[in-house]
Amino acid sequence: MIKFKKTAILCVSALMFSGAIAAGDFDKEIDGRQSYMGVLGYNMGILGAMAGEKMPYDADLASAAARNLALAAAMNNGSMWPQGSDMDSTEGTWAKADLWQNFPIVMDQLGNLKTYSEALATNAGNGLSSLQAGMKGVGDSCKECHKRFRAKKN
Amino acid sequence: MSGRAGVVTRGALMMLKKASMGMFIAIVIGSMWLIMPPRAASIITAERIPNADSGHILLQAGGCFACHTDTDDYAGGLRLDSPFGDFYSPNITMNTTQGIGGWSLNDFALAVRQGISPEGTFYYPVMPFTAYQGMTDQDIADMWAALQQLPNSDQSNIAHDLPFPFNQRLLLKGWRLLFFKQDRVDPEQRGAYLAEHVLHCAECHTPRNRLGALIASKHFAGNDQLPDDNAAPDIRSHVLKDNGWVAADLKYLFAEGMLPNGDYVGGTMVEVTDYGTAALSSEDRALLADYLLGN
Repeated sequence: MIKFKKTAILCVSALMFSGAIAAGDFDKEIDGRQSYMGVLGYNMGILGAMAGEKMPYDADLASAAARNLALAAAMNNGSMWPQGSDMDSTEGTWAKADLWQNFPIVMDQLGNLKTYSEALATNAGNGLSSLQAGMKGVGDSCKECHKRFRAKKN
Repeated sequence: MSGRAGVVTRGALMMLKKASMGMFIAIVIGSMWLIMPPRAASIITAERIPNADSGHILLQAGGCFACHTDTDDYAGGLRLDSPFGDFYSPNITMNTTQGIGGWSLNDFALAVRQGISPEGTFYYPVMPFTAYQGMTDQDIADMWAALQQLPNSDQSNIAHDLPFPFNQRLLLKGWRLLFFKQDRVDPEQRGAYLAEHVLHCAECHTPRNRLGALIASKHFAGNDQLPDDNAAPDIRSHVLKDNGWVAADLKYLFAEGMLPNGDYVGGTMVEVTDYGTAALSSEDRALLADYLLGN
């Protein structure tokens, strides 16, 4: 996990200070991260529907969705978050500029998301109560960033 | 021609004198009305046996913890950036100098349900007394009992930073006359009572007019002008249903903060779910969901 965090921080830092990306031209990166969040959300939606008893619990489906989530959470997505791609600087995003001022917090939460997703991938197939218990850590890591760094969309 | 002009001038002068006198009387009456102390109201009407456990849940669900906590629990200091200036929540621990340790239960009831301090000062409606006005005596007594159990903090209060004319609290008397309505939901209608009074959902999910009052005709129709670039969606029952929401979705949202599409809430709604609705019983969350869906 430490290696993951260091790599991501280095990657993001390199992008922040390289000046390689022209300001205001971040459509690809914004599309990329929104699609990435969509993948996380798609799998969380399946898990949440079962955890909230909106649909019947299915161990195989829960395991598959949780494994997908863990794989996605382990991705190095640093290049999707270049400096200057915040909502005050460009269109099409609700990411607050604060996100880039507080990158260590973001990296901590990404680390938490990876850790809790791995645990969920191990336990989601062990029954509804295991799934429900495992959702909390994943959700908390998502909410911590959404609370501080995402505007408008509720 | 000049005589006729003279008659008109004398008539105009008489009218002007009458108008001036009327204006003077209006100013005198208006000034007296402004400086008169507010009427005492919201007294707890009967002896209550307080339930502090219930009070702790109400303090969470009512947003007291979320708004009155910056560093120390319930010690205030949280800044709210609004179109009228910056507000800072006060210390509501039982500290006798910085907090509300010198208050009585009735002082507390007056503050929460009427937005009036024990000294007769009007609170800005950033404190949602306009919603809390419908809370029951029992719930107020329970919250008061819970506050007695919390750690004391001597954290100093921070003065609001408001430009003129919003820093003139006397204007709040006029605001209250125009917009503060006593409109209580029957507490037996538990879902409605929670949504309208305790959780005060309308405070974020209803748009406001230029004077900061909720637009009643757009109750729950959403507000994209919240502080810190936040927005609250339209949660009218027909809109929720049109968007595919069912009771299970809302119950899980209230418990975990997750939306049906797998996204998690953001902004201040995280505090509403984590500190507020998550503190409620699952039965209360179900009743709340039914009310919002119009079931």
